Amino acid sequence: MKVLEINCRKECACSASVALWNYCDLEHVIPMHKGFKEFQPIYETSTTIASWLTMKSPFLPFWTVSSLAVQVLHDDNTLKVINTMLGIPQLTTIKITETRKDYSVLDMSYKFVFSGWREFFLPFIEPILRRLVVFWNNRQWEEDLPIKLRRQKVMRLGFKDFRGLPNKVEDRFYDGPLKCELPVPRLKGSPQNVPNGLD
Amino acid sequence: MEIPEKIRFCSVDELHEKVFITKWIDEWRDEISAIFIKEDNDIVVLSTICPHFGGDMELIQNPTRLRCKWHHWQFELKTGKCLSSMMTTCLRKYSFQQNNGFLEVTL
Repeated sequence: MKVLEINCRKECACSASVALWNYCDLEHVIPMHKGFKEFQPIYETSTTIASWLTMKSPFLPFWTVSSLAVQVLHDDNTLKVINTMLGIPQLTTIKITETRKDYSVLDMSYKFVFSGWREFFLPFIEPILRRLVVFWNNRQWEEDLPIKLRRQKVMRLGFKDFRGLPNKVEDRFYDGPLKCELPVPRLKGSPQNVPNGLD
Repeated sequence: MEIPEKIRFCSVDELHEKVFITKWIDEWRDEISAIFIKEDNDIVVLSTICPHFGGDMELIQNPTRLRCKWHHWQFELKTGKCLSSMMTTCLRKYSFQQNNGFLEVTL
């Protein structure tokens, strides 16, 4: 068995809790990410999300791949995502480190497991996979970055979910710790709610 | 910092041309959009921070509405009322007047 590891690092002017919120907010996936065609959570707790997802190939959008992805909050600032890509088991680790107030570094490690006859193809697949993962990672990052930055900005203005900004301008300031409520709350009827009968 | 009661937001001609103009107003710590509703020849000025999670808005047509880019919640233009959920929080409306070809928005 061989493991191919591909690492990406990104930095963002947002707190760790805002970055984490972005990964756990399921409702933005379809509106904001071009690469996703279908995203249906089938199990969700404060630490675990299992979803059935269909992704479009970055270069051939009509070619789609479906898989089951399980996202686990491994510790306060680390997410693990277990998935398969083209039949290859994959473990993604996302470590969020708030290096200074409201500034985070995200280390993302993608590990692909090649076993049996697949090992033979690793030398041929590796260069393609490396390009594909970096392309995918950059695209996801660019689609999510404006969300993280804006969310950070409004949270520092005292924004409250489902209520908005404080009424008075003088009250639009918050300098305390930012928290991420998990699972991210959704209203009844959201298409990203776990379907009835799966609880 | 002193909070101004009025700000000059944009020219009316520019709004007629662009239909939808959005600006962060640092003095009021809010994002404000002016929208020209062509079919009614009317203007509305609203805060366009989505009260759901803080997303930004886009103007969609048929029917003309504001839609949050993040989660696709929709809002009525004239009242700021949310049309996608039972949420009672509306987009905040700002009063304004036209002065010498400019839109002056009042806090």
